[in-house]
Amino acid sequence: MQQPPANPNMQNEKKKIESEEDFIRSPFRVAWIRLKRHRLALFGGIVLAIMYFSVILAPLYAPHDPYQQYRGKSYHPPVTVHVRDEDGNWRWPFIYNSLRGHRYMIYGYIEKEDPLTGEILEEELDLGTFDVLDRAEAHGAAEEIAELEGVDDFTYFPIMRIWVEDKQESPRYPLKLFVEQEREFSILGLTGRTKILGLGEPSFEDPYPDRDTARVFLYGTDQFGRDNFSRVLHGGRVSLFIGIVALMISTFIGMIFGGISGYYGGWIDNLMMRLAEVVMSFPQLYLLMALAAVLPLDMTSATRFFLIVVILAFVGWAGMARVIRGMVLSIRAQDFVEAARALGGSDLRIIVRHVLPNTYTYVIVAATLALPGYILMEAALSFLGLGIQQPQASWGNMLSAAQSVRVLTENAWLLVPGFFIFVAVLAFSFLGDGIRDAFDPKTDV
Amino acid sequence: MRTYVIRRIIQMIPLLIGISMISFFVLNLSPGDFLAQIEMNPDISAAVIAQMRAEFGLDQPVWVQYFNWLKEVMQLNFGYSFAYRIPVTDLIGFRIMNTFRLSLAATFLTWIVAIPIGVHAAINRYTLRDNVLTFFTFFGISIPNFFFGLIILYILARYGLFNLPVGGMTSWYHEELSFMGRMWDYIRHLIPPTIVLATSGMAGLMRQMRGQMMDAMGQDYVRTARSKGLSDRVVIYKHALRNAINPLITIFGFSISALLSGAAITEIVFSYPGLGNMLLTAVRQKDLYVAMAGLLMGSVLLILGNLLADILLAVTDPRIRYN
Repeated sequence: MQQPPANPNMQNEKKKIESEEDFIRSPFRVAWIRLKRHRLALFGGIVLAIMYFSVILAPLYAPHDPYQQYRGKSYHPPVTVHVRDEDGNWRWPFIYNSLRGHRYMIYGYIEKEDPLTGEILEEELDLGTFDVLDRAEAHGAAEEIAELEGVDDFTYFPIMRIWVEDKQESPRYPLKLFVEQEREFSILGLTGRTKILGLGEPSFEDPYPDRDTARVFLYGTDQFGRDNFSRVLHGGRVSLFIGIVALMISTFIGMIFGGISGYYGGWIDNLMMRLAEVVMSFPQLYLLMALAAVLPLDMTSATRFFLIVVILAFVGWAGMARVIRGMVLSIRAQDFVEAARALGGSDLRIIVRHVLPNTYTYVIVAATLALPGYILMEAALSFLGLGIQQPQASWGNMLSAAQSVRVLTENAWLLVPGFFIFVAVLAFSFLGDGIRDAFDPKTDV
Repeated sequence: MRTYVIRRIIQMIPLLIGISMISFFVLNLSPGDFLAQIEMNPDISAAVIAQMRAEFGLDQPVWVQYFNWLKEVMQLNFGYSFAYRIPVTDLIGFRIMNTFRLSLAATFLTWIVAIPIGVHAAINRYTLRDNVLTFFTFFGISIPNFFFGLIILYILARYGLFNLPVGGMTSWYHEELSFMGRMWDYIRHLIPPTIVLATSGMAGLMRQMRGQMMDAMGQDYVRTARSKGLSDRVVIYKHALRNAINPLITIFGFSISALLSGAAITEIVFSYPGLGNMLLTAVRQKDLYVAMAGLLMGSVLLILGNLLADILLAVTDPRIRYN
């Protein structure tokens, strides 16, 4: 049975308190509630969550070892996954093995009589390209095209080596989920042998026993026949985390530096700000190049990672320090700082416990907005060959393989890592925008 | 105004000394100098190397080297390039001009595209068109310069769009062209890197322009202008836009660092012989004085750009007075 309220005012009272509780939520809670209403920011956050989740679990998702070189499969294009075989039957998704072929360019010539002079003129026609598996077949194929086009004469020459999907003779290699493999891998201390994606047994024995077996190359391979998909996943660990670590360090330096400079003022402030100004007077990439070129090439990848972080932080701290200093200048004039000093708090304690916490909302917003910049800096540095070194992968240094125009035009899939940099930076921009709006009391979300 | 400019230029001197000191010590942090690579060559005797080292002054302590360098720089002598065996000044003037030209062209393109689009987005705010434009700005901000450059290279090399060249600054037959032909050759080579460099700045500027314009449109003077019965065109372009454009000049000052960094990487992708491209080669080869000059000149461009932005701000906004 429902009890009638003893006092009708009680309920009202309760409601009022509830709304008051609503009213006194902490700024972080308010920001979180506002952020949840920002659709683009949420979308960015979800994309990032997926990306970070995938790269952390890279060994589980990656079908291959990122360092494994399949020399016989260099510059292999992304495999085509079929669901219907040549007879048109539906099948569990599978791939065919491929064969190394040659691409030829062919020009045809037509002889024409000049109507005025009666001279025989030759007209050249671009007949495009054709692919063959064996160089010996090239002449026959060229003749066939020449006949089809009705030209009198033709020339042809090889322009590049290509991979041709062998639909006729290759068995079907079905994709298989949860594949056991021999080598053990570990993620955050947990070890395992089962990969999410791999290949199952072929439908029959390959008629060419001496060719390399088919492999899943979802994004193709690079010059050394390393699987791009696995390298993108493993490289993402570097690219996505190096920015965060560098950002944390530079934010820390910026806060301490700006805090001290603003709090003490006078000549200390003057000197410290001049130093920040000098660092800011370099075009960022110029300073990055100079600093990164200092690193010797013979160091472990962990040391190198750490030093690149230090360099990124060194280039990035000055901007943060300047803004924090400006905020601290106005904060230190407030009564609570005076009170803390009167109570005998040491300078360091006042800076760290009383002054800097008042800059936190700004720092969070500035840091989120700065993060894409750090990711881009690392990518640019590695792209120039000064950052993360081969054989270790990062999205930037994978792109540097595409620097030669010839390699790039023949192997467009080498651009894939750039797409991931783009998506990560885009997602961080959306998220940063949302966080800024969420902390900004002036905007309606 | 003049005193302000003079004071700013005088303030540049300690800044430049600070910059040169940091550059010099950073470049000397790495183990091994330019000659270390030559030492690997068994054909060159140790005595020759020692002699070369003394000749270049590389056997002295870093701070002595620095002061020697500084003394020479005061007389506008930037030293010799180890790798090219010519004075750095001969090497660098041409590169500065190229970087300057590329940055200028990109800035021009950025402004000429971003401002009308920003205004347009502000006037049609929260419509489908505005949302589409906003989406594209995020696209422009997020795409890494070098990745976009590679995509453009790919498209040019693969599909030969408009017959534009794939990298470089001149064609191999440049010398045979007439004067006008040569100019056109320069411009043709400048187009792809300019587009790449301008895209990154364009997005941010457009976004700012939209925000500033939206602020300006809500001001009292715009309402007054409207109530006077002025046409939309006059209200937007004469009253609102003029006020909205000022903060952009400040932003222009802030963006110069990004512009020069972007120019450096764009130059490298398009193998365009600019300052950034030169610096990369120099730091790789440990060509000390070339790298020094590159770092210093990059900073000078940046500082002068900032000064220019401040002066422009005073010229365009009568409310700002420097004393």
